[in-house]
Amino acid sequence: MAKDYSTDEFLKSRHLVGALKARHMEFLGRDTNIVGSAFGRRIAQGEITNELAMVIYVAKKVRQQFLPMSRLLPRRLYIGGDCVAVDVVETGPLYPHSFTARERPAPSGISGGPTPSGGGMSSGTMGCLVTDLTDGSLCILSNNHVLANENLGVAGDPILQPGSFDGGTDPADRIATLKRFQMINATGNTVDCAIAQVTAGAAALVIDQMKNNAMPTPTPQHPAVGLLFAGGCNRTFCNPINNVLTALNIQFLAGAGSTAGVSIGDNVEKVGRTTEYQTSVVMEIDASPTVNYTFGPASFNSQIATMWMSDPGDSGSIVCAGGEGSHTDHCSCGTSTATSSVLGVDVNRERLMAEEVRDKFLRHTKIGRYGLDLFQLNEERFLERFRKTQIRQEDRDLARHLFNKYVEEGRAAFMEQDRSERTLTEQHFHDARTALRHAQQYMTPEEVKASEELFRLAEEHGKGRKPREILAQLNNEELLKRVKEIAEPVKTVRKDDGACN
Amino acid sequence: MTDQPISVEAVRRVLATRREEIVQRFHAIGTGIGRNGSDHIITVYLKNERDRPREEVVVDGVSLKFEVTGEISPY
Repeated sequence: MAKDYSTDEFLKSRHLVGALKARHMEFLGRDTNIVGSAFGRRIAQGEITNELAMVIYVAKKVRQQFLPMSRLLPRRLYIGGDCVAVDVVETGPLYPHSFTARERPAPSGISGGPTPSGGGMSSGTMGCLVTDLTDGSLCILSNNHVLANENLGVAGDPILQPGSFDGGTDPADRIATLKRFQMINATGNTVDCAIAQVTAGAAALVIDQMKNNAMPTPTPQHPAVGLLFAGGCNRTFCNPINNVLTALNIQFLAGAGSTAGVSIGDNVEKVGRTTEYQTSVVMEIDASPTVNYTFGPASFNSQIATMWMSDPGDSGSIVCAGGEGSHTDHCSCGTSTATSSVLGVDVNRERLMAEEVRDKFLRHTKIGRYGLDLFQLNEERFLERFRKTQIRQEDRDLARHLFNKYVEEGRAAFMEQDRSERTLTEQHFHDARTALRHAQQYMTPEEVKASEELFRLAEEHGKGRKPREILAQLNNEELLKRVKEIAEPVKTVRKDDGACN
Repeated sequence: MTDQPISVEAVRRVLATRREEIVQRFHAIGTGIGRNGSDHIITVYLKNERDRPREEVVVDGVSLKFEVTGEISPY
């Protein structure tokens, strides 16, 4: 559990770190790998310790043996008769959050979109610059749903940088005008693409490079493979780039030959408005997803599916071959981030364990599958509610206390898996009851009632039981029926694809 | 069964004739061609966990792998 510092102790340490930063400013500024410093707690093996420290942010951690003596950072710094721990944290390069800002000349991979239409605001990604082969003009490539508002755009519509959602207004931020787009139909689509012609004064308005030079623009050495347009929590979908170029009759500025096909397992990378630079791995080819547009579902053929590498606002990003690849799955990432913010600790390791328990055990039980579906249907709404809720300090303290109390036991149980002989005890339920009482302050009366009934059910069927016995209970049809009866009247919980009842 | 790995072309042939049936049977929101070791497989995208079958599914000799992607939205 985190140590409570006296105000004096805290202020003294903070003052010491401030003095050390001033004293070593020249050294810190000279090393280009050091991107910042702060006062905080030292982190050891992923855990926040009690030790107050001077935290030094570096673009990349480098092993001691590879650093010249002059660039070695000490473990401790001394000032007067006091010493302060030094903690080195790898943050990567730090950039201002300007993928959503106005920038001239505007690089590719940043916010852009049409003026607000129908009362809506929008922003997507300006993929990259292309040449319109019909007249040789300079254009910006993105999606139909970004530049042409899902088939509703008209040639000549103003295109803003940044997009209207990010504060762009017309005519002050106009950078281009919609030139043409490929219609999206209910079926039979292969592309969601459009181009906008850069307006007069092109040289000053745009530049043929990616934001922050996070990756090169498409060239034969760094070929484009797709145009990002849609996604779910663990997949990102891209139109095959050659279909895009053919449909719009365009080519990249580096000329023909700046494209490539992909195979399953290839690494790809992209730069986009929301998640900025991301790299991923091609998981499927010939993908045929049905995408849920504002006008209704539209099915696509021959698409490229990668692991997660985008969020809303990234549409229009050019996807190129390259990068380190990543198998990130964001299906429960928001929840673990919210949990981390309440606990004040990184729960990434616990998230990975929870995902394994989910995949290996829970989803094979009837109640587990029902719960996972409810979770998936409601996660975003609950997160939105969480973001608007002020969690009281005493509730955070209790959550942290219980986390610290049970984290090791949880990890041990995870290692033993369903072979575990551990049982759910009176104490477990006592602590769970305490946690529930605190959580109920943030619930509606209906939710409180349902949580009480579910707790009693869990107590009745879980107390004294081992993990494999609990899994058997979770597969009990009668119990599932009872759980559904309890959950059904709760209006704030969405049960199927319809709106909340 | 042969010892030959299942090729992309073989999976394409299966999808050409059985895709609609697969989509309807599992309430899928899409399919794709993935890989499991040296074999190519059919990946089936599901919106809901409840649609994931409990048993392994093989269609015309090609394995189906199920991925719950949630709703697929334009980004």
